[in-house]
Amino acid sequence: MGNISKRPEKRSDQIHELITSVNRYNPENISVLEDYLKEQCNSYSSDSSDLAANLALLKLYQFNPDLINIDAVVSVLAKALTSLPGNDFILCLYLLNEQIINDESVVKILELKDLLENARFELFWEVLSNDATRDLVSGIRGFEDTIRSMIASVIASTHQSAQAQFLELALNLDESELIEFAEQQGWTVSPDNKLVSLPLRDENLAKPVIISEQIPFAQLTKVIGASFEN
Amino acid sequence: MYQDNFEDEFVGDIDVDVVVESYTGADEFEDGEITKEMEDMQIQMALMQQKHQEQIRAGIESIPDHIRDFLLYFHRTFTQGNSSKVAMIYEYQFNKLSEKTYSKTPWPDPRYVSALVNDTGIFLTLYREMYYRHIYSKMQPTIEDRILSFENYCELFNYILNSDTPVTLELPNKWLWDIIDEFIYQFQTFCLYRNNVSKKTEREIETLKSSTVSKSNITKQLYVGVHGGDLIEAAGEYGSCQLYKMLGYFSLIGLLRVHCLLGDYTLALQSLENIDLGNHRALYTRVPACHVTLYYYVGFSYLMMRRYSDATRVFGTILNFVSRTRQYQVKSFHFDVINKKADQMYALLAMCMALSPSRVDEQTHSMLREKYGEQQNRLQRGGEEALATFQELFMHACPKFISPNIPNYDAILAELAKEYDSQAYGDANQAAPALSYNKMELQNYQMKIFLHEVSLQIVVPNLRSLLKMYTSMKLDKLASFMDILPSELHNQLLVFKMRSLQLKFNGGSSLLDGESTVSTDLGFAIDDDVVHIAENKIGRRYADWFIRNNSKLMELISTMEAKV
Repeated sequence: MGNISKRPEKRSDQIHELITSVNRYNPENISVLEDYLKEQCNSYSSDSSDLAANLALLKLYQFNPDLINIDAVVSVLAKALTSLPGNDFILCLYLLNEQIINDESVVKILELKDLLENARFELFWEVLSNDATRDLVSGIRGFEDTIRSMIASVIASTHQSAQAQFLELALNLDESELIEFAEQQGWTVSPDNKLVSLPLRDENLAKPVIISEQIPFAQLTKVIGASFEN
Repeated sequence: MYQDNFEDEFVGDIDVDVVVESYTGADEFEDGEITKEMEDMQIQMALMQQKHQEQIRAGIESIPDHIRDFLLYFHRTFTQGNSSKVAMIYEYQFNKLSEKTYSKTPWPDPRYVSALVNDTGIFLTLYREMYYRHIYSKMQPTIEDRILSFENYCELFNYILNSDTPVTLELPNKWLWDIIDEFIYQFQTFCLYRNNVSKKTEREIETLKSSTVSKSNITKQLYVGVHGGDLIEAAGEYGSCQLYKMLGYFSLIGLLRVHCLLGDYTLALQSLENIDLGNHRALYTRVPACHVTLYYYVGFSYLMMRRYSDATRVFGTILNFVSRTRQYQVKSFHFDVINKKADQMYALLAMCMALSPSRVDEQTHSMLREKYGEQQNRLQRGGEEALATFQELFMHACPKFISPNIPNYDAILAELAKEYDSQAYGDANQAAPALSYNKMELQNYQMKIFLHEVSLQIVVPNLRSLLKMYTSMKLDKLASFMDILPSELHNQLLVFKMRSLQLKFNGGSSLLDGESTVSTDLGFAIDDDVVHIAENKIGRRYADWFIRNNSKLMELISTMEAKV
């Protein structure tokens, strides 16, 4: 989950100027933003997506329905998939309309999104192995790897340790690949390769927190002041 | 203008004969004929003018005496620039007279008022603003009203924004807020009206079609207007002027609202970058209706963005404020608006609390139980029933979304024509469904996305209440309690974890800032085949106790001192 209000390092001055000024409503900029989207899809790194710019593109489509490029919409959505369980995806969805989300390829992306959000990881990989679906995301470099690390982080915040078999299915890896992946992530695999221990962090610690009241001193000034008056 | 000068310089090159030739046509008329025609026209014009004047005189006479006095007084006070009196007239007298004299009819026609006070300037534009606003609130505006009213707003903004020097005009804050508020409201209803073609006659559609030529870029105009106001605020010379400062400021909040209505929650919150929500002396607090509107849209945006804990915080703050200042609001004519918004916010708060349990203050909590207790119980229970309740609350509390685009009138007219044809053949109902498609589509679309998000976590409440009972438990045993497969339970736990990850505002300049936080009162982790569970506890609340006993003690001391 990135912060949308922050400017990504890769955003050029031209794009930044475009999306922060009234210029963002100028339909002539659609092509500029579409090119920028392609750039985002072609670069492989976890912080390559620029949600603010992509939302500006969807906004232009919203105002100019005759200029909608459904392939670009699909790319924006597929790119947003990699940021789950953050809220990028629904922010994009709100800007579309009934007609667009009934488009065949958009329906496929929505299906993938639901599988991920419902934690049906195994099924997700199965659907993705389907040729038609794979084609939709083929334009995005490193799509599978980004999704894999996203799933890994969900599991890492839920589990302290997990069966290797479950991980293999959820991450779509075979035994040796899993061992390699675990090493990258800093996970420890048991000697018999059956159980993987995940490092403890805030999210996967079942530790009760006592929420206590915090009263800043400033709030009590009236009470204290009143006692001096008498 | 430049072109004319340009051509003058080259006059020497023009072939004079050719030019003179084009004049010759004039000789064909006799002098007398033209003079006569001109005389006729003059007589006719004079007649028309006389008739017009008579009409105006009759119009002025039709205004009741006390209203005439009021308007003259209003005009005098306004031109004298007595701003505190203008505020009084605007807030109380105008509304009192509206209620007494014009509860079901419009105020006097602006043309007559113009003749009465002998003024065609800014006073009249502002009067027209009030005149149409009154029509909107008390009657059904016709399409002509809608268009004229909108043009009047454009005129007003042009007057204020497109002048070379700052306009020396001072208006009460409440009025300025109402202008922006109403401008957007009318824009919104116009959009709805425009899209709601099913109920219209052919004539109306034709009018709409021709009017949209000038309206097609209203959205853009609004943005530019607002951005203009925004820039001007920062521009120094203008910024020092109260009118521009407040107008620019209110426009920012207007922008929040428009973005929200278009479903762009990101931009909505972004537009508030310069407004500090935590500051209790911020400008928006000067107009209560503005204060409430601001929080409503911010909270709603957070809710839609799946930042439930932020939404809860925002709604909690403002609802507490509304209930504590209730006694001061009763007199204000904004009271109804505030009440209605507050009620909607309780509904939204009920949803937030169900989606992400957290605490609000006691008073708000008990009000919430009182208003929506039954719905809250249904939301907690989960399942289909909960989804239906979410839908019901959402419909009650959401703003009326708008579409930025104009429907295809030609297609609709063709449909209508077809409908008439088919009516002639006796099957009247066939074309009807095709026409009503647009009416609820927008509302439904935003709701559909939202409800789908909600449906993803519909398993959570049930799971939560079960987990709360244990501190650690085998996965398969827990699954058998729930009567599901262990793999299914494992799945639900992963969903639970994912859904509890939310962005949460933690200070910062933009309302979009936030940190990814686990926001739940229940922590759990899976260790191979065992679930460890830990519930967050809420510590004792000392502050309230301390303050209450403090005042008790002070009372006691003062009674004792009085006795001595």
